[in-house]
Amino acid sequence: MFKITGRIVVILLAACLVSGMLYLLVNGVAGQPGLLAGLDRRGGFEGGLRVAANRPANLANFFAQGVSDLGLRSGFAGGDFRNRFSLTRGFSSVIGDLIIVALITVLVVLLHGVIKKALSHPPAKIV
Amino acid sequence: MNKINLFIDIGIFGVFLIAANPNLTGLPLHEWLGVALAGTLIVHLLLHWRWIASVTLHFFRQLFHDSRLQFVVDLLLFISFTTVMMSGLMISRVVLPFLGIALTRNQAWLPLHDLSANATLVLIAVHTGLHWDWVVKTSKRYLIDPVAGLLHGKHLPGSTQVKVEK
Repeated sequence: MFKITGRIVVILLAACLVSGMLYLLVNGVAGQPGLLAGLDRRGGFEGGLRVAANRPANLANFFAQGVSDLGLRSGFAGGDFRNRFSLTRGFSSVIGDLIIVALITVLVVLLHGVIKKALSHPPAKIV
Repeated sequence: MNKINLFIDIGIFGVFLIAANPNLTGLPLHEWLGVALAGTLIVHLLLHWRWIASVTLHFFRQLFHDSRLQFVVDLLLFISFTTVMMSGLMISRVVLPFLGIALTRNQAWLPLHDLSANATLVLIAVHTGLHWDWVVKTSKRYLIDPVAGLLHGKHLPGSTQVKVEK
């Protein structure tokens, strides 16, 4: 019982560490705006970048630059990524998510198999 | 133990898929399912504690091994899942008010919640792919074989079973 409690405490501490770092990234430290403070829902990253335009050291600006360099708009944020695969809203979005998971799983299984096979070859014998 | 792991994992995956679609569940259920998922995630980690401890201790000793990739993916999954939980709580309209906690709203949490939920979905797929051998083996043993056994072992009414000895 004591062992399990200790393990739960370790897991919660790890979660608190991640959460604390995230909180600082969003809310900032000592009156300074957080690195992720510029993000908003308007057009995903780009919207966030527009808001953060006056903050040169903002991580959102860094993403904005990257996104515009790639010529991409409205990327992952705002649920766009999954909505593109979903047939409609509601129940079908669960099926859409299931299809995404299935496709990525198949891809990983195939790639993982190929990599494992490539690594498992015995070294060539030099005669 | 494998049987418990399999059914808990299927449960977590199913609940995550449902909770990840608030249009289907509505906001209250979406938030409470999210909180419940945090609890099941802790159970999942506890059930795999020996593996986590072992790989953490050996992570830097041996450069190439399969568990290293799995460990990195699992760590990313933990971070993204914690981000979903944290950002979800920060924009909560049901759970935190129910607990009597009031927070000042920050617009940045909403896209973070979406982004981390999408990342979690992708990482769950990668996690499943990396453990595919285990998934197939245990599913066959505890799901497919018992169901197949039930179907094949079912006798038609009025038929008699004849034992043939070799």
